[in-house]
Amino acid sequence: MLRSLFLFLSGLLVFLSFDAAAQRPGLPSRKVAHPLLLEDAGRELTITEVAAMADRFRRSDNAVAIPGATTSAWWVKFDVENPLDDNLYISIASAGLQEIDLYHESIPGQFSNVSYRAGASGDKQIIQSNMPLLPLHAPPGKQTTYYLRVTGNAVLQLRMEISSIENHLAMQREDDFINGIFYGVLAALMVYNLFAFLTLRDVTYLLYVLYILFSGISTLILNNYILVFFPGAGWLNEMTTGLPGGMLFGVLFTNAFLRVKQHAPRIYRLSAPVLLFILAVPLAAVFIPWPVMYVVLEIAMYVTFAYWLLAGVTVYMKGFRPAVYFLVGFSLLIGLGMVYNMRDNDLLPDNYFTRHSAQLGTALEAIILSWALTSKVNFYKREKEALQRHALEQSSAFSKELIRIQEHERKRIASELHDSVGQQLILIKNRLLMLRNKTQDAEAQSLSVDLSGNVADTIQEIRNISYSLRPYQMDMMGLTQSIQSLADETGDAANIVMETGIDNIDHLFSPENEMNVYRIVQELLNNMVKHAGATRCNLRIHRAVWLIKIIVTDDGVGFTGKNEHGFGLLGIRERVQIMGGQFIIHPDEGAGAALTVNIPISYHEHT
Amino acid sequence: MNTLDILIADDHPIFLKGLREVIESGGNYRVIYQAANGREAVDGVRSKHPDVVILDIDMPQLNGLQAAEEILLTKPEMPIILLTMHKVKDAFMKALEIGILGYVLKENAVVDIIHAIQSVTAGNAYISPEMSTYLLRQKHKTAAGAGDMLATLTPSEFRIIHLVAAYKTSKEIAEELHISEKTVSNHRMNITRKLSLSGKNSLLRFAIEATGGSKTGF
Repeated sequence: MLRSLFLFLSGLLVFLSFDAAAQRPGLPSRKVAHPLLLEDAGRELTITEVAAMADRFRRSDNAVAIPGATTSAWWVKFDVENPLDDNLYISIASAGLQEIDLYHESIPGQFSNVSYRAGASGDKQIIQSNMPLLPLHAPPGKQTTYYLRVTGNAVLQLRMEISSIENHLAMQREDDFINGIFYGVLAALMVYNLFAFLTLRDVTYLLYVLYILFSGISTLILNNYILVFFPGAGWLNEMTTGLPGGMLFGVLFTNAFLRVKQHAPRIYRLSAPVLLFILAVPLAAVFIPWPVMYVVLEIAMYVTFAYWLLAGVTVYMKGFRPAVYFLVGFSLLIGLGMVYNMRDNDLLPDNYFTRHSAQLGTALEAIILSWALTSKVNFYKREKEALQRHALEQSSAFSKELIRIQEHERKRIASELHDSVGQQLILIKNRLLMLRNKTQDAEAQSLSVDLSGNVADTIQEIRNISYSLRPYQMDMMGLTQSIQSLADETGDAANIVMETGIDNIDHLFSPENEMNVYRIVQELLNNMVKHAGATRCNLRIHRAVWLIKIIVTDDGVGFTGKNEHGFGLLGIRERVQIMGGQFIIHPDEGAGAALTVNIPISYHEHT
Repeated sequence: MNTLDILIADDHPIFLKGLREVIESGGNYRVIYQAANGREAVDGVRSKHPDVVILDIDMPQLNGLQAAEEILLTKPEMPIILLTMHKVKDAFMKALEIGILGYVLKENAVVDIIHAIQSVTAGNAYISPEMSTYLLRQKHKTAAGAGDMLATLTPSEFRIIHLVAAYKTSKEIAEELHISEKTVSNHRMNITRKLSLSGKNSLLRFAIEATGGSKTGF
């Protein structure tokens, strides 16, 4: 599932990047690249003062204006040409936008102003979005100079684009849609792994969920979504909360997933100071002003990256295969982050892929790591299943062996009794009979007759014991006849009308399994006699191509409420299981019980 | 009287030795071959041409029933006596079905064997008295449909069937009914034809199944 999601997402983006020339309405979007910048450290300059200081503006080295982490207000100066009578808007994308004021000289000496304030409903003309859209009111057919004043509380990177309102809205809708997919994927992975945590109680999953949660929050901050949708949650909109959270759980996740403690104990020792450092960042942010904190945050980030890389590579070198997932996910995060950066600097074309590569990096990393975790679940599952199968096989083999030994022992005792004791007694009886014929002594004759009677009784007892241990018919007349006799005798002995219909099932099974079949029938009939209180019983054995079907029905009290795990039934179940068959107790239909045993015929079995 | 050549097969040497002594002390009998298992017995019959074959039912390689079946395949008229320690009905019925004439309980062998040899050489069935007593004492069910078939018999045929079921020989039946042995065998043939019975000892087997063993004296 994750694999296909991964391929789908990357495929979708690569495909869309070729489709970037999709027609949008209105004037095509134009970036404000390398604009003129002016820092207002005291945040006190007015538009008239700024307009007079034209020579103090400096051209930005970067295509995107990067005032960076700053407490100053920044002024941006640019020209806009409105060739047609288009309704032009400027979009400003940056993290932590607080105040935006847009000025242009509408009448000479008079500046009209559009202003935006974070979290406030602001001017009715402003379109609240993660990228605020401000109307330019550009007069048609000429070039107009604009001044933009911006303050922020995060790393200001002003991506500004000018286009008709239709074009802006179409683009933003597409962006929102794609972002929706990314956040949807992240949310799904979080829920999935949270359940994995709840099921498996493996803290790695929880750490993963928290890592993704904070990484997600960080990208939400960067994309300005939090400001739009949670304007009150100022604390949440702080990079000093989101990013250290992601790094903290990232490090913990790394330790848990890669088992750094076992695989690379030396590197593991570094994790404590790293974690302390990361934890110190949000605390320090309370006291230390933002521009300094930005440097601290950067350092913390690189330290964390270094730790991840070091741990990943070392553990992989130690031969822990899953580390490859970790490294691939991490590389994607970095690599796609770089793509995003290169697009900002005009080194890569602006298309879906480059515009969303940062989120894509996060999402792909999340998917790959989740994938790794899933294979970990599967690994556990397979291991557990293998163990269970092994245990089952063992117990089956054990009971098979037990039954085999039991039958063997019975046979041994039976033949011992029959062949040795029985034969001796037969000899004795024959000699007594000879003695009676030879002697003329009446007393000796009657004594020998008495004695031979006693011996005959003993022989009969030996016979009974021997028959109960092992049916003599099995070797002599085959399985079918043995079962027929068994049914007849059972019926006679219990005074039950026994109806039988037994197909020839000789030579279908190994001698061992023939005995199992016999014992199953014996136990079925014994149960019926003991518990059913029946007057009629029907025993059918059908032979089909691949199985034999043993059906016993009676008119007794039935099985309702009976213990289905009695010793006799247990014995049947065990023997049925050994032969890979089924034992079915049919629900009572009116009076009596109905039991079916299906036993597959294995033609490979040596008979 | 000519000397009868006898083959005996049993895997218990002591019993075999004792049995041989009893047989040879009985008069004109000579044991020409002793087999220790069923296979040897079948081969012995082929090479030694005995007049009577005595087989133990429990033997290695081929058991008594299997050996008898093979022997009767090539020599259908061969009188065979089965020695057995099994006092059970199914093995007995099986023996009759195969066409074995004598069924002797091992425990009574010294007493019964000479009678058995005499009986089977005359072409009659022989069953150890203890065995027939045992079978008669057992409860029997009447086989389904047999009752209707019995109804088609004449009163004298009906009487004969019951005597056959009581393991009486033709001679004994003749004595009991005060008729000639020839008449008895005529009656037997008529019954067999009437009921379309076929196979070895078919009348005896039918009589046992149909009458449920004769319990009332006739």
